[in-house]
Amino acid sequence: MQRAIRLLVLGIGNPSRTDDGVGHYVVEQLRCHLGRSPADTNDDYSGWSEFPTVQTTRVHQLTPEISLDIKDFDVVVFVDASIGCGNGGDLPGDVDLSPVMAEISIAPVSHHWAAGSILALTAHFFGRAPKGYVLSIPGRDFSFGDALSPRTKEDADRAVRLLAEHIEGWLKGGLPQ
Amino acid sequence: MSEKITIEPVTRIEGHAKVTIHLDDEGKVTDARMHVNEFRGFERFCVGRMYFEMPVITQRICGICPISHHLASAKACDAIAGVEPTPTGTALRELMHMGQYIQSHSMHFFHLAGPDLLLGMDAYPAKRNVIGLVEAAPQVALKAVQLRKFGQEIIRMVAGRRIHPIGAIPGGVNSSLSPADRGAILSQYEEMVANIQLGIDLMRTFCEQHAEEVQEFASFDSGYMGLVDANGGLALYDGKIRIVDAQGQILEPGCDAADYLSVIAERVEDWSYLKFPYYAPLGFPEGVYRVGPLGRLNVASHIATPLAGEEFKRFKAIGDGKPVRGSLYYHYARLIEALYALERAKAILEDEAIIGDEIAASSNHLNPEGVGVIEAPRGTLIHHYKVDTTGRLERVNLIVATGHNNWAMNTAVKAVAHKYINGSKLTEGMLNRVEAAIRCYDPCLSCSTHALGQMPLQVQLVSSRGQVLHEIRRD
Repeated sequence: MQRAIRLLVLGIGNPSRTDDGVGHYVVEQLRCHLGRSPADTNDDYSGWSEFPTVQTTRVHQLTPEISLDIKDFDVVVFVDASIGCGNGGDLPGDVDLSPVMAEISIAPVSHHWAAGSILALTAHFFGRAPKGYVLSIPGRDFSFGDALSPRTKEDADRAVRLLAEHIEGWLKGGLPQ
Repeated sequence: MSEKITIEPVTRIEGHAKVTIHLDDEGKVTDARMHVNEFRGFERFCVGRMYFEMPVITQRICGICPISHHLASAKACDAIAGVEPTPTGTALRELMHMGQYIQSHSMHFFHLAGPDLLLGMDAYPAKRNVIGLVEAAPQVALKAVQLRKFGQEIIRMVAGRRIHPIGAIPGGVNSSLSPADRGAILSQYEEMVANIQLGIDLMRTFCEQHAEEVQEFASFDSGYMGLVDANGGLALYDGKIRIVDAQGQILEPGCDAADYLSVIAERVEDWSYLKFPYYAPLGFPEGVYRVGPLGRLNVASHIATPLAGEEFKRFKAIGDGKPVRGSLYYHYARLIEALYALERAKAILEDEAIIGDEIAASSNHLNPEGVGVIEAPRGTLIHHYKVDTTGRLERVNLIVATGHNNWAMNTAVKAVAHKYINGSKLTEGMLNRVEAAIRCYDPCLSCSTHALGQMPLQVQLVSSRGQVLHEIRRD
């Protein structure tokens, strides 16, 4: 019997900077959407009873040690605010779910890495990396504040539905090659 | 015609700075400076807040060493509240501090300094970075990342979050450590010690293979400052301020944290947002000193843990009874401290106090001011608050490690520029050495002023009339 796909949804951002916290919001709402309570810590890797191989976590920024956290997953979805993503996504507007290549790039500081770099680091260390996706939600306001701007919240709610559909599809039908 | 070289921004440091190097008509260096061109003003906008909010406000100063600000602030709040933390609260605070040392020191050595040390100062710039290091030595890089994760996990278990902790409060901490978490940390101890010892072996090898450069690179006289315990040994969480001169003679054997203003004064220069602290009784520049790993090991008489204690003796032998001067030895000292932090974490965890129930003491006192001093990974960190009769902040003074080392970094830049820069044959390797001098001090400019910068490197050779004569750009 083929084992189930192990999937991690990783919300990125600073919830104290308005729309930069959209990654955290999407993770919380995704859990609610699929019948789970929102995580009450920033580092919750607990699986869901309906989808025991699906886990979630939230971080401020991508740091090198995340390469160790993701090494045993088949798929990692990085959820982050964007400042100008294109219209090629699965939903109208600028919400976009796209594959990300494992490709390392220079990190300006040690605590600020790109998703592709984290995947590449995992591949360098362990000989393989999960398949990566970036779910981008356009942010419009990055000032101090702990609530999303109205339009970004609308986009985030659509992003949650999009992600949930993809997760169910991946779990039932497998990943696209 | 005199010329000026600008390195902006300096790479592989935490924050944004630039270096200018002034040349005379013959292309020889006449002066060099490191400018810190960020400004934040935390001291000002915290005024008006309640003092007990400060541990969770000031940890936002920095994403690398938030624990240090969190704990220095908590200690200042202890003083205002007139409360002594419980033994369990103190142990948990120190444990989170050790977690920070392990992650910060190991990551600096492998990620920021490592490319210079392991790939070479003159290595191809596109590869002389963490990418090149990962490609050249993936298992070495993996051990560094494992150390960082180990330290971050200690912080998460004790302080609630990996970054921007919420664990320390006036009088102690707000949550206890579970026996399962205690066991999880201890179970990885031996592997992490081996990882750090690999770094020490690499550093020793580098020192042997580059003996002359290590001895001479940014090597200069200065005083040194750091906390010591009651026996004069290395102290990272709590202790008294010790200052020694360039010969190792003790100027201040053990100043109480609350009296820091009797030994430290600050000078302002109009070309940097970063102040220049100095030992007040000697004045400026006679009283300049260095802090951080080199400073701490130069003021300490010993290290109390066995493995780091033995390594400390090897370190001390370099100076033959006097302080170790060379800036590259900061890297060696940093790894010795990381080893100490691991051993200290183990000792704290093996004491039953770590899982005690009394995690905080309460108080109804309100003193008009409080000082908290701690050794952040980059050096001595001082938080000083004054409050009104309701506990509202009236004045905030923060002296951070990078500030203490401001003079030293400028002196290191000048020394390296004089030795390596030839204006008529400018090479990228020469300029990298100038940056490497700064990297020895692991400056955190986010702490000292704050704000993240983008990090391409731009180097311009500019004539006295503003004409760009030569440019090197690293995207």
